[in-house]
Amino acid sequence: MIMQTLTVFYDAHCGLCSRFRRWMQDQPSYVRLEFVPYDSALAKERCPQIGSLRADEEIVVMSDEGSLWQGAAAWVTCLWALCEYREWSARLAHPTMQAMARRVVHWVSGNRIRLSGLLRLTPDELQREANVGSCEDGACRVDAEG
Amino acid sequence: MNETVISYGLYLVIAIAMTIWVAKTLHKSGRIFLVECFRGNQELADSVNHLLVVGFYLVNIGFVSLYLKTDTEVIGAQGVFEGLSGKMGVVLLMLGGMHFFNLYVFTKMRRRAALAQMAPPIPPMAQV
Repeated sequence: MIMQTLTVFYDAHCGLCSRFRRWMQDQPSYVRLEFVPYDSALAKERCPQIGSLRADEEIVVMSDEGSLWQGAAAWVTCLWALCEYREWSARLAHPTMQAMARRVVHWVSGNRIRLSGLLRLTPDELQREANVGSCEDGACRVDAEG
Repeated sequence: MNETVISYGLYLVIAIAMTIWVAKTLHKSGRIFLVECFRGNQELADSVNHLLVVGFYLVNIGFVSLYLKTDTEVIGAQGVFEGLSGKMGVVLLMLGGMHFFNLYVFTKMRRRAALAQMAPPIPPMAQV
């Protein structure tokens, strides 16, 4: 079966993650993308196991068939979904690249709040409170190209 | 008819014959690439193949025509050969360049088609 939708469980309290969400939403993609804050009720409804996955430490993505990826593998799967970066996802999936990617992703995830502060990035959570968010029901969607 | 006109005549015949040969090779061998790019849609592949060959003819024959005139007067059989080889060398390099450009376009199209079919590069870690 071919994947139709990729759900990204991201951290809406983190500016860097929210910036990445907006960037990904602007890219042309092969599959439909949905962005759901990992700690929302919608996330629990979509993926009841989300609580046991430590999604607060490493990003989790899920396909419509229920396949799960976390951490560096989730980042590679996000790139795979984008038209312009699929070739890069194949390169980064190589075992030697994955070892390095895992370390980088782990470090970025651990320091994401501090990095967001340094880069002055506003999290989606704050934007939603100020009523300027574009995702009304907690999930942001973007349809596949073509 | 002097040597310059003989050079022009030979130049045109050889350059156009070479263009036709390269275009036919491109047309014949490029088809299989295009059929794969368009997921077996032979009609679309044939159409794109034809359009590419038309473009190839236009660019090359255009260049051959523009490059015809020689500034130096051609004297004797030696002059005909020298003038002709210089001109033909440039035309052949131009044909080679165009041919490789076409191959590059074919390969790029094929790679894009293969990417669209690609499964996620890392197998899922869990299934729910």
